[in-house]
Amino acid sequence: MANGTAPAHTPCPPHMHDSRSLAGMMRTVCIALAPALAAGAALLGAGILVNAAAAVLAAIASEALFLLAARKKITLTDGSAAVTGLLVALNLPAGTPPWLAAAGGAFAIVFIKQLSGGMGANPFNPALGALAIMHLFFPAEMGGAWHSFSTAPPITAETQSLAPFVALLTGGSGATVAEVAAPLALCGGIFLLVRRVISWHIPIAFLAAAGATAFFLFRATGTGESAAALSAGYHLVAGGLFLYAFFMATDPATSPVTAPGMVLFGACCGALVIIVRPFGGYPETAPLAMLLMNALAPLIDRITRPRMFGGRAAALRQKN
Amino acid sequence: MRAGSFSGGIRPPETKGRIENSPFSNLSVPHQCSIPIQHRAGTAARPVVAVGDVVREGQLIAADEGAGDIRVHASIPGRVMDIGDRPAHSGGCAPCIVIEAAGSFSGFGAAAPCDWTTLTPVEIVRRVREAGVMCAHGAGIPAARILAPPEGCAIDTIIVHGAECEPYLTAADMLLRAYPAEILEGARIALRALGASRAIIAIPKSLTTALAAIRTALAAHAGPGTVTVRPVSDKYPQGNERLIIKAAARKTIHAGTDLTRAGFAVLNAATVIALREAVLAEKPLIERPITVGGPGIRKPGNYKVRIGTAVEDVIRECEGLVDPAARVIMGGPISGTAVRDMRVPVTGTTTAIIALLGPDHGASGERECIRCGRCVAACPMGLMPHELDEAARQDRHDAREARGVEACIACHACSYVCPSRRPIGRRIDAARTNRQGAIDG
Repeated sequence: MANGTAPAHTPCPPHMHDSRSLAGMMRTVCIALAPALAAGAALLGAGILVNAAAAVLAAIASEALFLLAARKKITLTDGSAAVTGLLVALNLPAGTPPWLAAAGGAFAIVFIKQLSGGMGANPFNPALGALAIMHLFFPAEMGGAWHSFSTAPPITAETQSLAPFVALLTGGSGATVAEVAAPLALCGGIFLLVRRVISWHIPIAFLAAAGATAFFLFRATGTGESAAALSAGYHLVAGGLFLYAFFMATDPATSPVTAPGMVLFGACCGALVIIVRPFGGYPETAPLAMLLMNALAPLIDRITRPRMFGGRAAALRQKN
Repeated sequence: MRAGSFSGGIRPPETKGRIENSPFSNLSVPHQCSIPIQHRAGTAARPVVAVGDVVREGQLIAADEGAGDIRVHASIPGRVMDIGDRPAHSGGCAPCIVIEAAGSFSGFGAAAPCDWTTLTPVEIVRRVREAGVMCAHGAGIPAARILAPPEGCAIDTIIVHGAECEPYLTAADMLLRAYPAEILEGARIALRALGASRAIIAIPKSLTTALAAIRTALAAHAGPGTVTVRPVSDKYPQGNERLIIKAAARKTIHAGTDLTRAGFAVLNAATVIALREAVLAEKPLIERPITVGGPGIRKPGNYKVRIGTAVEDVIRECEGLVDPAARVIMGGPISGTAVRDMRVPVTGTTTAIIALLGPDHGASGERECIRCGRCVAACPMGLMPHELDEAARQDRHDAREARGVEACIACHACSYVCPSRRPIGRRIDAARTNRQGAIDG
């Protein structure tokens, strides 16, 4: 100092950053998912934990191996592979063999994430892509125990009751962690919102659109208003929708970047997930509906570009 | 009244902490001053003194009658030791006049202040020009040039802004609290010089004491001209002229339109105080109110520092750095410049000297963009910074990207929020420099 020299470390602006980092965000996501996983294990058996461990380890290992083979920088510390594995596991029905869980985690990382662009550039959500493929290739293992919509008692004006909810939340008709632990998934999602890991745009639009779509679908089939509302509520809780709304639809890489785009994307996801339920051919159609929206995310970004500050004159100047 | 705002922007944590209530004190006069004679906005002024000359405090030492319109005054009495290049905060060197302190301080404002209401606008502008008052923010345009807009431009609104909105910076807040009457009078002088219809004093809504002080002064001192107070949001980068106009006057000035042509003049609180002193007491601009702060400074506070004082002298007067490895920054911690050489002098546009502790997160290496959209939400100019960043990285220039790069105000809000710690703003900045280089060359 005395000789007039500054420290050698002289970075460019900004000289301070927001405290949220990629790794920190992923850690928070894992923390938000932990209670749901624990509740799932308690309700569905310890096999859930085995599957979760298998999927997470397979995801991490395959990411490391892929990056090594591709001679890229090993970036495991950001924790995104672990989150992918966890999300795959939470959407697997109880009784899924651990090898399938592991294969799902590895497939998600290698094929849907790394081979199609790598971190941040993958067009489809890795966990969703893997789940869709698993449902297609292993319907017996994946769909065997999955019946919540086909077996759900029809809610009519006469049989209005909370019985289906109770059945859902105790594993009676549900099968995945995401479903039996729906209230905890909702809490986890709210935790992410509070910690500002995600913004409100996608999940709120998702749930509002899903609820409204379910309500109007039931109304259209002649159900009474209160029964329709109850059925819509059932559809919000069923099928692990909270996990989709808060943890999968908000995947930054595969969702729009603009705020209006996020609202549009979330609403379309929510509506589509409900619409495909009665008309889809597979027991679990939500991943396919969301993958479709993943594909549309770049288009949504294009049509919702923010307006440049004082942009009119700039546009005119550009024309001249 | 709802606070005026603009879209985008960031809310950095409030870290005013220890010096929130620190009033201004005069920093001891250094034994040597390197007074820059080249302002960022203009060409270098011609020295009117020679090496060996003895100068009085406030004596004119360099002038540029041409386009730059600069007047530089001796900030301390003494002997001219050298005229030549000295380290500048931009990283390179800039011409300075070096004065070693000797003799006595004359003191300004001893004479009875004149009644400015009797002065003509031309006389007001002359006094401001002679005093070398420059805008205390940005490129350091001479205030006289703002007060005397080109023929055919009628200024309707003057915005006096006290919005810093960067962590650790408290000087503007303290000026508003300590000199509300002076700021009010300065705004009225500017109104008279410009013949403008109104002046709006824009103050971030969280600075409640400052808002109250200005409101009290407004109630107590009736005077000519319409002056109002407008609370604005606490977001960064509100110091930007177009954004403060948007926030305070709800007017969007289109890109490519000159502020003057749109009828606006923006002056900050420190400039208004300096121009008032120039008009009333013909006091030249020889000192700057700055914040010396951040966790790395032993005795942070708000100080009036003579222009030309070396950063190392300022820090020594503040009892030094907590840790020799502290990162010293000139300006705010978001938009400021890292000090590479501690001999760099305080200039007329220095707002603060900040010392930060700990490693810079930005230096720990960037990760891939995950397209989270935080930069899009933070950009006050409505750009998509992550796309511009990618284009800059690939050296791609299509029309849309080029337009975005031109519109960027280099506030670095995008880099601040990026969870992957990508230096987005820096790369966009470099792309603009390259483009300008390509156009100029």
